[in-house]
Parts: sequence; structure tokens; C-alpha cells
Amino acid sequence: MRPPALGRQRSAFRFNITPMIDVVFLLIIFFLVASYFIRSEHARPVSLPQTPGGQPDAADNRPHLTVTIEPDGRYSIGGQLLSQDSVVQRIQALAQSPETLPNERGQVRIRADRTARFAEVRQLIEGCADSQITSIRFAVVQPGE
Amino acid sequence: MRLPRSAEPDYGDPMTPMIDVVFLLLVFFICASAGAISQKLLPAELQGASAETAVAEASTPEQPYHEHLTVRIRLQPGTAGPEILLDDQPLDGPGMLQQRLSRLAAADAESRIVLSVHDDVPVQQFISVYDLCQSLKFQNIAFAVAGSRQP
Repeated sequence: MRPPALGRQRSAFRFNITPMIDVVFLLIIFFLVASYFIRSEHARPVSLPQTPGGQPDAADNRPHLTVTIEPDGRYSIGGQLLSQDSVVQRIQALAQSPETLPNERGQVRIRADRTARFAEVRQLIEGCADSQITSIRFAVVQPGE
Repeated sequence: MRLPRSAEPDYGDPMTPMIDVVFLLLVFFICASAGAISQKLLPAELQGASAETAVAEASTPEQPYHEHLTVRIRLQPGTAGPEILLDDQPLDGPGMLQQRLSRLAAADAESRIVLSVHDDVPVQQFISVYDLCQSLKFQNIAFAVAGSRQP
């Protein structure tokens, strides 16, 4: 004789959600780590100037070019070291980009190390002015960061 | 006498593993966000013909900019920090520059500021002065370039 089951009758199929959460958690970690490495590869680390001003990096559809200036004055775009002439050519290419609207010639973002000389910044400003790019952004951090 | 076994209470679906995972996620995001540096952007709009706004060193007297003043801030490398000159008058430090510019901004915020920064000045000093001008709501800030670029 089969003894009666104690407690409530368990249904034939119960969906166990715990392994699914484990997998989702692993996926999230994977994508976070992967995105971190991609981002660190595309921007060389520099100590940005500290200042209380500045605006948050809002979503902007305007095409932009981010140029990093290292403490020794070298330029890099997308983690790749470039000569000054190459950077100016990239700025000119941005100004002539087909994605650029006629009245907006893109934007150049300058990530200059706080100890770098102003000369390299000035050369970028001159390159933008020569290419008729009027929108420039200087990357800064809040004091203490 | 044998006591009857009590039935197990019904706790429903087990919540503990889910709470553990949610807690782990929370800790992870808090740790990840703590290490991130929030970068901000300082806007600069080159106006009209900013390449032409280039002011050569020791240039001829400039044409008046409408009816507003034109003030030139010059930063030069010094022994103890950069030397700040406001219309060729040396200032004691950034505090005095802020004081002078505040008065100017109160009088006429549409004054034109020309930043003439020596090539050897660190970017940090340039950004500090530029941010000071922006925080005082000056509308027209131009950058001077080298005299060799003058046509």
C-alpha cells in the first residue's frame, strides 16, 4: 500500500528559477567586464584637469572626435598614438564627414593631461578653426577625483 | 501513544537564493560605480572666425568689439606657478583675477575675453582660468594663437 504523501501535494512540474538567475548574473558580469576592457582599450588613461565647472556628458547625436593629449605631448585617438599631422587630418575628415550636418561641423573633445603643455591644446584649437569646426569640449573632472 | 507527525508548513517558493543573488548584484554595481570617474565636459565655442580672433603678440591696437570691452588675460610660466597678466598688468594670483573679473562681469558680461596662454603653461592652469571666465557668464571668450599664424 502506498503511504499518503505528507504535506501539500507537489505539482508534477515546478519551475526552478535559481539556475536561471545564476546564468543571468554571469552574463551581466561578462558584459560588464567586456565593456570595461573595450572602453579602456579605446582611451588612454590621463589625469584630466580638475575644475568645479563642466557639464555632464549628455547624449549628443553630433559626430565627435576625442583626442587625448598625454603628459609628454603625444596625441592619441582611440588608444592609438598619432602624429600631429594625422590628428589634423582626422579633424579635417570629421569636418567633411557626410554624417555632419551643413550647419554643424562636428565636435572635437580634448582629453588633455593636466600636466601637459598648452602648446598641444593650442595646435588642436588651430586645427579645428582651420577646419571650421567651432564646437570644442575640454574633458575635466571635479576636484578631488 | 504515537503522536501524529505534523505536516510541513508551506513556505511557497524558496526566496533565499533569489535574495542572495539580488544582494550580490547590488554589491557588484555599488563597487563598480565607486571606481568610475565621472568625466565632465567644459564647452568652448569658437565664435565666427576664431582663427581670425588670433591675437598676435604685441599686435597693433585692436578694433573695438562693438561697444564692449576687450580684456586680455595672459598666462606665462613663472617660477612659482603661472604669471597672470590682465591687460598687461601683473596680478598677484588667481584670487585677484577672480576679483577683477567678477567686477567686470557685473559691469558688462558681454565683454570680450581674450585668453593668451603661453605654450609652456600647464593645461590645468589654462582650464582653471577658462572655467573661471565661464562661471562668471562671459559670453565671448576667444583664444589667442601664435603670431606666426597671422596672415
